[in-house]
Amino acid sequence: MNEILKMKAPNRPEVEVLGPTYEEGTPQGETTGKWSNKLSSRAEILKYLQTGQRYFFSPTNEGFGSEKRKKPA
Amino acid sequence: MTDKKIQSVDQATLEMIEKSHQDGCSTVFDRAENMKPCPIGAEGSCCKNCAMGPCRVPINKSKEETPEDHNKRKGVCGATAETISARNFARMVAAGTAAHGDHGRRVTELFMAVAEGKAPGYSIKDEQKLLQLALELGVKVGDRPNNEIAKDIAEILQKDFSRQEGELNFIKRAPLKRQAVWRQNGVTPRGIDREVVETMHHTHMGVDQDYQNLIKQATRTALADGWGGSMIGTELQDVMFGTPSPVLSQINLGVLKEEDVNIIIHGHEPALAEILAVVSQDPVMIEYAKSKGAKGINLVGMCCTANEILMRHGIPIGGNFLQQELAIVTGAVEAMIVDVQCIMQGLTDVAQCYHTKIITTDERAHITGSTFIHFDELNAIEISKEILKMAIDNFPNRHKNVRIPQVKTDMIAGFSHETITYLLGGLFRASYRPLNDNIINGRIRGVAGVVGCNNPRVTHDDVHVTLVKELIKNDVLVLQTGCSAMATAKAGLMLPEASKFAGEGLASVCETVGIPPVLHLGACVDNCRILTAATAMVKEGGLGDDISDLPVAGCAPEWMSEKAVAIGHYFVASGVYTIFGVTWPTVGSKELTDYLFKGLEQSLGGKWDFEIDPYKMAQKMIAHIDLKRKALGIDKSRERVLYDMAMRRDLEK
Repeated sequence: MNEILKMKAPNRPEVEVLGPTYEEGTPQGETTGKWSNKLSSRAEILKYLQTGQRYFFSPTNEGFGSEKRKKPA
Repeated sequence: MTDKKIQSVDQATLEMIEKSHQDGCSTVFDRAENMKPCPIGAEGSCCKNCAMGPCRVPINKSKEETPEDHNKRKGVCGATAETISARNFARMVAAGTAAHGDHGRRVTELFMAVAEGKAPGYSIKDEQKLLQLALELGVKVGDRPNNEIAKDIAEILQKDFSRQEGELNFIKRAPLKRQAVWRQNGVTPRGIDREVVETMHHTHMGVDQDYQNLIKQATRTALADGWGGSMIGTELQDVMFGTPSPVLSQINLGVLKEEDVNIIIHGHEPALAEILAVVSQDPVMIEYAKSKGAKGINLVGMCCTANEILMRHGIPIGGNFLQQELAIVTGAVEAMIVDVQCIMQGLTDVAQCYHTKIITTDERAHITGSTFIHFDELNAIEISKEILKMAIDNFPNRHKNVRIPQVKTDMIAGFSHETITYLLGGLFRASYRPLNDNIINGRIRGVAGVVGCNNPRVTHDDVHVTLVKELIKNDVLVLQTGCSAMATAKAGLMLPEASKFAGEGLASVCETVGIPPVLHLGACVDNCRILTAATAMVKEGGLGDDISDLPVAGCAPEWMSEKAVAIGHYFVASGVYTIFGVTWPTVGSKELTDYLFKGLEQSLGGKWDFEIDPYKMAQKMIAHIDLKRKALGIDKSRERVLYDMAMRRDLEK
């Protein structure tokens, strides 16, 4: 599906946006949803983990994001 | 005319309650009618910890209590209502922690056996999760084989059960500020077993008689559940059986099939269910079933074991806690195979009305009148085949009195923390950023964890479904586990189409990401996945620096078990505002209840609350979420300003 929809937008007349792009129907098969199968080698997995799960593997013990703030929340 | 309580909002449940009456069979719904809760025990005012009692110190509900009245409410040893109530509360936490801790220990033992190649039938299915744990626990990866890495992980985590000093390994997973809060309050758990044992000692006659100190030890114990026993169990199960990812399945008694051998697997530990899921597909077993006149074998889950095999194999769910006896009432179940936790002894009585075999499999959980087959994980396949064969052999004994309610609903499950990270950003930008951004911009108002059991003291499933509908209508994303997840799945809330029940903001995010507004995160042991997700939200940034800063709230609307109290208390101790429904176990002591509902927040950042009405529950949770939004300064939209370099430099000053 590549439907173009006309939508209201702030401070502008109608704009055209891309509509839903999902495939219709019910997903079938054992591998449906098994996204981690896309990583085929240990090197790929480790590379993914260091970015995708970066919250829990800090090279230093300083924490991430708001944990590093100078002023408390 | 008496005003009789509606027993369930689930059509299949009502149909089977009616059938049970026609068949002259008594279930939990009838027993609850005939047995009212003990009013003294319900408020935590009964102490039976020594033989000078049991002592009853109930509060007088008919008038305001004077200090003199209060002073009279003491046990024979002089224990006050506060001490008695706090002891009872702490013991509930200890029992819940023991249950999850023992689950985690069994999983660790199996994991070690798998690493050593001693458990045929099991393997390390999820290398990604294995390496994830190795990185987190500081285990060398390199080119080492998976089983060597697994052995090192097992050795590290095994020590968490028996450690006498120091801290549990997964404590380091929590936000830095949260770890500091625990250390300042002296509640960081040492070893899982030690905390449970110490709580039993604290609560023994003549030991700890200060309610605040009793709650301090209960807190330490609860944390040993959430960041210890439960987390170890969940993580190692993921490595052996696979980290859950989205899977489509069905739920409710309508998943039973009249022409098949129906086998229900019920309980909590997935080791047996995992093997049964494989063995039930064995062509030899299917042929054997056909030789007995059946079309095939239909494996169905019940309670939290159901959640485990649903998330990993898409095996359909028969129902939640209060439906376990009703599944047998269909007359179509050849065997109900059980392991541990939430298994009603009433099953054997109900089974006598039909042909169903109740098969217990765990040496910790025998039931008089059932058939016991010891499930040895080191000989899993052979024993599973023996159990299946016993069920198949029972098919010709099925009575003619079979009625399966034609009620079932599609659902999507399998939203582990890892999968949520992936769904929000794909492989290259896996992140909680989109979630945090949409909370900051207000499309998502906050996040709620709605979990827990069923309880026949309230209308089955009603409080879960009403509360969750109210939350998503107000743009609160809902994370669910356990029997609570099953209640809303039956109501169709675990499908992307359920966005129509959500507020405009939440619906727009769900439609963009392609997720339902209510996410199924697993079994009750998997509540620790919510802790991990909350930690990731903190670490992603923009929503404070501790879990207690997040616009989140928790609730167990239909709780009944001691595990629920342990879970609730580890959420409170982790900084989460947590509401329980049905009943509150410390109302016998106003002082203790005030401490749990207000005092704890000052030291731990989280607090308890109690509410029966689902609409008021939702209002309280949303009010708390709004309070946190205000504290973060994200309660109203701000003008967006594009900063140039000079403005950034000014900011640095």
